Amino acid sequence: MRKEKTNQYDRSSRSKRKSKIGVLWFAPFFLLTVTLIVLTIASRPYIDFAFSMARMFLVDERLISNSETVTTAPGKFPSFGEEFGRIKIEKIALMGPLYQGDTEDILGKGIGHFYGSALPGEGSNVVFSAHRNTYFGQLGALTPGDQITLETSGGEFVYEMVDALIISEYDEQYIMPTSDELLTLLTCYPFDFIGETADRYIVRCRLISGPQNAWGGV
Amino acid sequence: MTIAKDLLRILISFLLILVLIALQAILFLDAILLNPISYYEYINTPAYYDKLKEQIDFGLEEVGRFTNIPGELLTGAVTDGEIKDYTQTAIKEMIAYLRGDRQDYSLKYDTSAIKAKLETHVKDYAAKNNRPYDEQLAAETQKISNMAGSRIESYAMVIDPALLKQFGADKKIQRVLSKIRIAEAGLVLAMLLLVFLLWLTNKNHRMRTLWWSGSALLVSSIVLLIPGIVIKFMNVAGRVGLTDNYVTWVLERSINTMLMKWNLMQGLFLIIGVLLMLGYVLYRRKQILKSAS
Repeated sequence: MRKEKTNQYDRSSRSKRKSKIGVLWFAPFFLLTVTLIVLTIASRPYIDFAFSMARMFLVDERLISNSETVTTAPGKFPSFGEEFGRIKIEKIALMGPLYQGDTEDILGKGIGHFYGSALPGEGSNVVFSAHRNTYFGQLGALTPGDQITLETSGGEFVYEMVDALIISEYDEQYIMPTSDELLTLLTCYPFDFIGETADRYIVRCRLISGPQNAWGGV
Repeated sequence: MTIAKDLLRILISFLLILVLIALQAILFLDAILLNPISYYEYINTPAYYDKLKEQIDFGLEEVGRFTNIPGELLTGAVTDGEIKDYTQTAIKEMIAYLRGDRQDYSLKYDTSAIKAKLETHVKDYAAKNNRPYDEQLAAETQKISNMAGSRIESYAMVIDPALLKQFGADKKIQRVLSKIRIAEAGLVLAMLLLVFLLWLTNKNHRMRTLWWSGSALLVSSIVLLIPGIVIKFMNVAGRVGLTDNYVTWVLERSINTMLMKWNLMQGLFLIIGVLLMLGYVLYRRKQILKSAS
């Protein structure tokens, strides 16, 4: 049976259309809200993880490192990477900067203090190393009795050479702490060998003079 | 019945949104993040290349200090053109390897120029010391040129391939990335199926499919734009590192560029979604005007 067109039908049809249009306009907002809620709940652990990683790795302020060297103030204990003094060996006309730490970066700039060893005046093994083709190429010319001076932020220390040894690169006993103050200067050996060397040349020295309690008992 | 139909349409649209989110993310990964062209520009940017060259020179001087070779001999044997060519090829090969298109990454820097200069130097050294250029010196020369080559190889790539291989991460990445194309195809099929279902549920008003599909695309794009905007707002790129070296430089620029491309891509999809919806509105308006006249 065919339905006749009436005013009532028109009103009903218009209201249906309005309701349909309402659903259509409402759908994107509803879908966006539902999707955001569902995804936020589902990915909550990953979001937390991402934010904790961001807090851990992101720096608050952009710090740009420069090649300028930080020098330790007189009387202060040197922090890692700081230049804290100079070495002077008149016999071989050597004068070079002393740095705290012995990374390749540091050894590219000067003479590195083995971070695990004592500082001058601390009464144990004080280990410094440098490349044979930068500062320590002439260590082989030193003989017992030669003087080595360390001018540091903790004062001036004078040492006297005791002996020299050629050791294997894996021999760690000469960089271990000692009961008496000892200065150990270390470099690669043979001095003029082309290629990576398997041996090390060390010069050992005893303390002659230096200030007491140089680093403030640190 | 009408409410049930609307609920069904909303449910299908919601599923379509999830499919579109995955598809849009994978498309970005495939077409932009894993596209070597995205990274080529850096090599020719002086601000980046100067930093990279500085790092390579430092690495070669370091090799020199360890092996008793003048650093300038090694740095002088490497030309800008060679570094740029190698870096570009390395990026291409690395991405192909990570995507599983290559079975292995074995690209090596051609050290013949370095070796030739080294040989001359070592022969001079041998002559000065009254000794022949024997097998031992030849072996040391080869070893030093290999060391120099591996330094260049590791600095040219921000991601060290050797490091990836050490932890087996390369195979894990390959397993995921080699399935990108299959995943894309699967998601496109799922998308078409869901649009078809929307079309079926709107059998009296086929054009309404445009509205529902457009809404889904609009929502998925907004959802994907949110993390892009948050990361941009957090200034992640500017806070990636403590030092201003070539790695942080390229990371900072890459993050910024990728974020911009991500936001642009999602913005483009958003516009398409809005156009689909607008298409339906115009069509409906035309229909109403036609029936009124």
